Amino acid sequence: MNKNNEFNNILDECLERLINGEAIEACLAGYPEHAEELEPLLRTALEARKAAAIKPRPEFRDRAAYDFQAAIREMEPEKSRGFFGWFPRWATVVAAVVVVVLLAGTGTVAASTNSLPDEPLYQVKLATEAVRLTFTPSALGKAELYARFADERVEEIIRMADKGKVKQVEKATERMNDQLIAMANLVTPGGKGAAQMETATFEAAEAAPAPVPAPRPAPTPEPEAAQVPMDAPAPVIEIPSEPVEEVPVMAAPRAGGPREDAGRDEERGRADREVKPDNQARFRMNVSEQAMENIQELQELLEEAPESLKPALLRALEVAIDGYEQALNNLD
Amino acid sequence: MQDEESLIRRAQQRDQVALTQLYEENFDKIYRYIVLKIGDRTEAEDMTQQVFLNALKSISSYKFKGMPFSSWLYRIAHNQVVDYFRKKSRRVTVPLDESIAAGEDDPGKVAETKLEIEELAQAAKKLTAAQQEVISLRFTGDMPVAEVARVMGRSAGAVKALQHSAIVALRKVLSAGAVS
Repeated sequence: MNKNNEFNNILDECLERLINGEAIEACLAGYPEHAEELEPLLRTALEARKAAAIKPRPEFRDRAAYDFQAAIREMEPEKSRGFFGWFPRWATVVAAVVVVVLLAGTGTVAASTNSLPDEPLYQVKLATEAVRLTFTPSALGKAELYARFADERVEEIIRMADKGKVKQVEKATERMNDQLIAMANLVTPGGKGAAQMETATFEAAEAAPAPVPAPRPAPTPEPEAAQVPMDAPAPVIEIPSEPVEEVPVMAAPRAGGPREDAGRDEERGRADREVKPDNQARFRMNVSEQAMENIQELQELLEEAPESLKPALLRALEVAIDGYEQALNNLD
Repeated sequence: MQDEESLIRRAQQRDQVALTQLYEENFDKIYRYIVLKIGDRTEAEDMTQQVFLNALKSISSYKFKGMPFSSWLYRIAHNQVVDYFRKKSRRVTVPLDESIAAGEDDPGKVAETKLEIEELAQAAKKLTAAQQEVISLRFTGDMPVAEVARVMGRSAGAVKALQHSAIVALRKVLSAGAVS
């Protein structure tokens, strides 16, 4: 080994020791014959180390972290499709219904009721919700369930935000979005799309790693702190001051033969699918109260949240405002 | 290292926790590397983000060969820096000064550190590209010589010699007060 190489090795060893926190003097003591040459170089290296104080701006760090998480979610999952993935969708639904019905007797379903998105029983909770929707025939019944589930999602958003789990906040927001849209569609005269929403809800119950795609484009959140409106306006929500008159929907049944029975069955089925005006008024009142409460809670959460959570919470607030507003408009 | 290998494997399976951990462990270092190289905060921010998005897209093809994951990220960052300088003439720069946060509460000390870093960045500009690279990777990225050698595509011996010449050159520039 020539002299230069030997010195380069000694210099490198001392630099490594400096990087690991040792003092210059300790290294010089180990190589007294090179101390004179080593010392100025090590001091210069220490000067260069000062550049390690450079840090990204916090607002840039937050924005970049948010974008990175979004990019992860946009990626196709690499994992296998899992057990349910190899079945057709209808078979998956049937299988899940069976599983949930079986589990209902074991107490697992009951235990899952209060589970949160980061807990193992949460998928059982979502599956239970999907099954309840499947076994609820009337439009109003389904809409009420969607409203209740959206309420659950808001609670989950709050709990996940408390734990600082941005991804879970976003997932719960997308589920809330689907459920509010499904609710709004159901209370639209001749509303469609509920069946689609049921499937979407069920897909979420399959523990799919990616969030259920929202049926409308999500506004691009801008996590720059200065651009996060802290005073996002709540929707104007009117509560009906007068009770709505009851209007009978079903005609009185007539006595008759099999043909008339068939007609009656058909009529009953139609009535099940329609929303009666008195029930609709009661439902609207409930939704209106729920909307005000949930939007206020999300606003308060947004105001107090750390910067890293604000984009996700802003999106949650926007979804809640739009979703409830749409549902209330459709109920008018 | 074995931990990092399993972390990378999980990240290749799109495990969000693993991906986030790799991101968090390397984000500041990659930003620092880029901002010191190009001296432009806005561009450095965009490029840092792009490094991680590119890494995310390509991680499934990453092959673990016993080197830290950061080596690969530095390689991506290096390529972006090269690309940046190729197109640089069309760009307007934002001063480096704004991107420096010394982590001090004392405003006097913060200002002093900023000044020192600014002087250092200016002095580093007088070095050759290879000398700048080795200073940046070794002293702001805390990379061992073996890793620097891999990133730079040189032997460890060549990097040690380059490190020596880089420190000597930096010392000369700083002590001569040649910083403009």
